Amino acid sequence: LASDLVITEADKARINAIDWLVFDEAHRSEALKQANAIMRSFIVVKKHAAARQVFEKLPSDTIDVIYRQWHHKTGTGELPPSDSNAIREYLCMKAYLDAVESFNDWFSLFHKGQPAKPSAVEGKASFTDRVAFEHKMKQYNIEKERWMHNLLTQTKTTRDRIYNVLLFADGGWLTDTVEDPEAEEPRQHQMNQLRKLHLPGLCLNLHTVLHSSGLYPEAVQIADVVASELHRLYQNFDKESVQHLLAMISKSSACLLDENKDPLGKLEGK
Amino acid sequence: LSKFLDGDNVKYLSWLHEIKRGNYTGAHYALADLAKNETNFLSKKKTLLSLSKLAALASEGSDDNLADNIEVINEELDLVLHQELLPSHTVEGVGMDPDNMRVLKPQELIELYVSDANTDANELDVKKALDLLRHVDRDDDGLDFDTLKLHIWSRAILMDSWEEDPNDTDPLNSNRDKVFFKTVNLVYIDGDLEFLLPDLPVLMASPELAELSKQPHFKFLMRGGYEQIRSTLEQVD
Repeated sequence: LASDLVITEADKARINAIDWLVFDEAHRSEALKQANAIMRSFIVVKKHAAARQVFEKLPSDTIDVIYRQWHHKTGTGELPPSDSNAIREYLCMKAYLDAVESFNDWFSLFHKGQPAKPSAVEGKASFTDRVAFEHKMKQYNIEKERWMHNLLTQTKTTRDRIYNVLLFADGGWLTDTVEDPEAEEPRQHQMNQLRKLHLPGLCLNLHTVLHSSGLYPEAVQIADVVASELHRLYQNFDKESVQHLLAMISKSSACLLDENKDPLGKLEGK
Repeated sequence: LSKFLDGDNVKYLSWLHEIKRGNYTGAHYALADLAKNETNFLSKKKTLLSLSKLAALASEGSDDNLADNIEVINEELDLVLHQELLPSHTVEGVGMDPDNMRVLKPQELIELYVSDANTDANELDVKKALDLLRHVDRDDDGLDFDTLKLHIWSRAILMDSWEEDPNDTDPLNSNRDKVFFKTVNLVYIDGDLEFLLPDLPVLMASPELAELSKQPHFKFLMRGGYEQIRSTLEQVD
């Protein structure tokens, strides 16, 4: 699960260092690359709140500024490989942080937001006690329905955001699209590590969200996405994590069987 | 218990059981079997194939066939993808529900890609039909590979009008905009031209082109076009 660790003084110093780079627009490309590097180092230890703070340090016009600066300097609209890769990485980071935060919201709604069922009246209850209980039950049912509704909304948002990461357009999450002859080896290595570390975890989170909300057919369909040659997500899984995912999916399939439905949640006849 | 679960009706329970006991190779084979027998629902076949592939990837056993099996599954998934990519109006045109399709055979997919039901067909559809040829079972008696190939190219020709335009000073140039020659170009890029393009006399003798083949202007354009293809190929050699 997405744990969030304490932001230390040293972390804060690194986050605040970005402030120095955003004063002058000419440095914005460098600011973006430094921010990306710091976010990578936070995300690898699951310090998502810290990564978000770094993200927030970059003004929202950063991409525009980089284009403008480059155009000003060279007269062309085509960015150098390192810049276009950095912009893509920044968008990947945003997609990831959005997904994690949405999942955390879902998690607390699911575990803490659920209304408590009133305890039944014991033994020979008085008339007023029974009336009070009925009233509480009525109240509880309304709250439960509201909670279910909110949970489903949050489930769908979280699902969409996780899919935004899993199916990140044009080559996948945290991959470069432009070949950069001057690319730094450590960056490539870190991005590779992050994919292997987080993509299987996100798939499992996606399963948890869908399964817990009773969306078993969608939970089973995760298999289609992971196995697909279009996205090759399975390449980021080791044996153990594929086994884990299969165990989870088979649980959803078993739930469908228990409900006397098709075990893969497909339509039966029409 | 494993033996009992092998029966056809309980195969579904079988893979759940195999995964529970950690036998991923067993689950892989059970799922592959189910996928093979699934002809009613495309999306179900897809998920069975996907699960079977994942089970093979999860397998720790020393089964040497697994890599080959994954290749076979990928081919099958490619076929599923081709069916999913059919335009929904084309699928509806033949009375099927795009969200609930049965599994179509490769030759049925080919037929749909180049049929009249695919109203906006272009060279990419013809190319897909040609790509699908490799999925066709050549041992199937009711099927003639060359006839099917000829059918695809004939349909490509019929997607354009071959009327003579009196204002056109360079008629051969107009070949460039024809679906047929655009497809030739795509196939050429893939390097499959010699294998896939029928000889001109064979093409002209296609029963579907019987009417068109009588027209001198069409004959002229085709001869010119084939000549250009030949000289391009020679230049490369």
